[in-house]
Amino acid sequence: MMILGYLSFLVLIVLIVLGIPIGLSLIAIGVVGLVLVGEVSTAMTQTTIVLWSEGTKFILIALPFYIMMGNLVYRTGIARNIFMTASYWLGWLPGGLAIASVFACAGFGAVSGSSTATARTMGAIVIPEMRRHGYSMQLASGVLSSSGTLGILIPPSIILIFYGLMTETSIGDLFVAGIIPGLCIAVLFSVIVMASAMIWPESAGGKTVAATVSWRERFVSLLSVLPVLAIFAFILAGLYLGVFTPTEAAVFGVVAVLVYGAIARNLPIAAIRDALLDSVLTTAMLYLIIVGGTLYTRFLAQTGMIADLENLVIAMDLSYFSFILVITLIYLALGCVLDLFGMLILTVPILFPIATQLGIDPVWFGIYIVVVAEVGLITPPVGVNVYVIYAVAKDVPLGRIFLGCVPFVLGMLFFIACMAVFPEIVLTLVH
Amino acid sequence: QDTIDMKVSYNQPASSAAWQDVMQSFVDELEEKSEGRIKITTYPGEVLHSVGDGFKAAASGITDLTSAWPIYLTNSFELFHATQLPLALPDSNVAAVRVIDELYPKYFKAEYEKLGIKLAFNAATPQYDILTTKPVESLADLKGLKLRATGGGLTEIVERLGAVPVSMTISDAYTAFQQGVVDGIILATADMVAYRLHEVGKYNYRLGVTRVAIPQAVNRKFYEDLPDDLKMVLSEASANASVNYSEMYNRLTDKALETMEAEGITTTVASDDDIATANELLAPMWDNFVAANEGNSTASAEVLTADMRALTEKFSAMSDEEIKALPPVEGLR
Amino acid sequence: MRKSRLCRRLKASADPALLRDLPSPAVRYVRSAGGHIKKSNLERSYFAMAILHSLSKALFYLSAFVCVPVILVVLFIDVTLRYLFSAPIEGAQELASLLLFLSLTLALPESWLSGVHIRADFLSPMLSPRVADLLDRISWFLVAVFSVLVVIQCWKDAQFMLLINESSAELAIPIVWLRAVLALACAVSAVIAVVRLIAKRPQISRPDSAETVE
Ligand code: NA
Ligand code: NA
Repeated sequence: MMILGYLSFLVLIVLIVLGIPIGLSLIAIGVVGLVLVGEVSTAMTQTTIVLWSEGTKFILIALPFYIMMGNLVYRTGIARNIFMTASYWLGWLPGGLAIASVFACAGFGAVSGSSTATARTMGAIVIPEMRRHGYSMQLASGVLSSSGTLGILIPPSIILIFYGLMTETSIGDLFVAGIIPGLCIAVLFSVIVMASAMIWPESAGGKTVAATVSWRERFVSLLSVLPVLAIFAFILAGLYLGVFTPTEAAVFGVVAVLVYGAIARNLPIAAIRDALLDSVLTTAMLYLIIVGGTLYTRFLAQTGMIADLENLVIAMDLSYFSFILVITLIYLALGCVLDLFGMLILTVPILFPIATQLGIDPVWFGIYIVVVAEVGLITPPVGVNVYVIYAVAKDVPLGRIFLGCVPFVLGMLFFIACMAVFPEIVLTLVH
Repeated sequence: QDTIDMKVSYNQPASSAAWQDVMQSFVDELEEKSEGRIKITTYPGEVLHSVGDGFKAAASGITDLTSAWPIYLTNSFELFHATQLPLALPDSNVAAVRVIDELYPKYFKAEYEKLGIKLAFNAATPQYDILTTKPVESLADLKGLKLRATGGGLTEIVERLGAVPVSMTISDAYTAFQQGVVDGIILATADMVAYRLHEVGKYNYRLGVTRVAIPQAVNRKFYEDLPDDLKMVLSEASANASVNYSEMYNRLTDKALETMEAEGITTTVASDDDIATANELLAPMWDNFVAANEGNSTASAEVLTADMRALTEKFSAMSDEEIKALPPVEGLR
Repeated sequence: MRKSRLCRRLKASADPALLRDLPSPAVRYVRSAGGHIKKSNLERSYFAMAILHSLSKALFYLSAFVCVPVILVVLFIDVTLRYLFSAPIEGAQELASLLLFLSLTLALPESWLSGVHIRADFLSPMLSPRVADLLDRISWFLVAVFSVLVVIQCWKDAQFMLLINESSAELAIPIVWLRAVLALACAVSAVIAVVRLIAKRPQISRPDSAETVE
């Protein structure tokens, strides 16, 4: 049975690398696996159960609406203004626009509880603009895929709630603890962007505009971002004043952009139509990946493979640092093919008690898990954030987007090392 | 002799009290008393199926034993919902489950088994209280508050008490409560702490207004294929698990109240007057239940409610120890 | 007479990539046979394909232009009434969830046809056209098998659902209808998959699909 788990891992990677659509590969391996550990009838029952329960999850509603909002914002042209302004203000920095998009993602993370929604919304707005400004698509798509992960580190966060309920850790503490690491990672990503823009100036458009822009122009340009700031402020206010939940916020984001478009008369019916069609197709694509991931996770749970890995960890009788090193390696491997929830469901129940025995703070461990799981969102072959960015920038090969993520993956691993050495980064605000 | 493989799945994670104090002991007891003839693989934490899919998972053989709660298939049950009528069951958890057990063979069994499963054992949540961010010290204070409540019975209870029911998934509930989308949550005190809602709430108004039945089901074919002696083993272990469940909830509620006190939450036990008023406000739900289910099923809803009231009175007068000393109810499986 | 007019209309409104979907045995047969047969055979395949494409598009439009806007309106009104008047709509969230399921399901056939399903393109530049075609045919085979299995299971589920009167908790909407939509969408997907499986050019994902959803 255990061997079946490891084997499925390999077969899955082979299928995906060969170019079988990712959702389909996950479904195929999941269903075949469920037949092997059970029966044809139970595998088939699981299939419709999963199609139904994943397709009726209320929190999934945020996805089509945030995708729509991103498309609409782009079509109104206000996205162009943000980037004009950002280039006036940050243009003197190497990679200024890319840095602006890192912080835009961090800001959007404060209204969204999902990483994928963050990457997709900001990607639809930002990537076409970065293309216009001559940024290399490898850097643009890499930075957006990676910064999207800030959506689950900065509160609110679906995955931190999930972890909190699983381990009986204070969700309030987890939310507070996510803020500093979220900002640290944003700063770290900016440094990475700047470094690569200095090493390869042509990847960041190759030019700076600062010299030609007067301070007057800079301040005037701020006026043009007012609509987008107003829409953001509206969502943020609605969320923190208790008008709507993070899931419902997506609906209000769309309504806000529609209202703005109606007033400014720059949102033709065709744009709305395209946004609807695109959001439905993209969500359907993600839906099949979610369904496949769930089926695969349910099969993997019955192979005993994860339990085997975890027994290995227990048997090694590790110290604090070597424990973190070993489980980081395990999470990197699992992150290749599993999604966030799959990883948490399968590993946390066993690893959490070992971690607490080693004196690791439950809040720290939660933030740690989210950061390593985020890495999985941008590593091949299954990296959902990369896929949603790919859906925005179809002409950029998937491989190049993954390549573009490499510096950010290394940055996150570096941050994990910092977290291990200085746990205070996570725990200062909590205790 | 052949060993029988059995899959036991459960909604709560392995770290939860429900798993450790109830399900794990149940599994251990089954293996021990069957002298190793039943070999069990456990799947806590919804890894095989979500809690809402419990019935289908048990009926189709995805699992052999799991939580299968009528509240997740509201419209597939009629009489079983009697257990959810306001203030229907005794205050004691042990007594409440005993009443459900006593009613089960006559009124609920046909409905439950229709789904292609057998009953492993009955359990019930503790009574539902109301946790709010705004001061609530009497029934009147509930007026106009937005309370998260899901499920037909709960929605109506909240409405009739003068509050506004808001339906919301439990994963959204924490953030919604924190940011004030809802003013409160109606839930068992023990579960308020399990869902960490005590981090947000400030007032716990202990009205004890209803309970939710949470029976565990076993796959029918699995049960029927068991040799008679192993059926006996399953019955015994189930009876113990049922009592364990109630006592686990007693402990959890005590602990939750301590936690709440330590966190500075004001706990108010509803006064007798308030309970009488609540009873009056909610009385139509009993009549509606009888009217809606009269003639729908083989058994009479009117007789059922009368029986339930009599049993509640009978077992409310007994101590937990006395009830536990009684022989298990016959005909549960 | 009327049939051929319908045929022309369908042809006019159909996807220009339609011809590509002609099954390769038909194309081979057409090549070996005389002009007469060639024309009518093409016509017939064309007609069948046009119907399939139109059906897929109809389901897709239902999803994008009915389900999603309705979710938007329902949630907007629900939240607004809840906040301003403490009077949420009962069952609004449930309705939204059910509509979400419908919209995802109804979009499935078009998602296959329009090739939005993401695949790794690490190897594709290195593959010979024949190997690439083979891999595409394997993908379509998997889609066909999966879709057929879902249709069969929906049939089994439906019987159980009718037996236990499964319906949504608050609005009491019979779930069996939603399963029927899933079955329909998967049946259409299965036909699409089979057609593509034996088509001349089986491509499962198109590089241009992001821009041209039409
Ligand atoms: Na967030
Ligand atoms: Na990955």
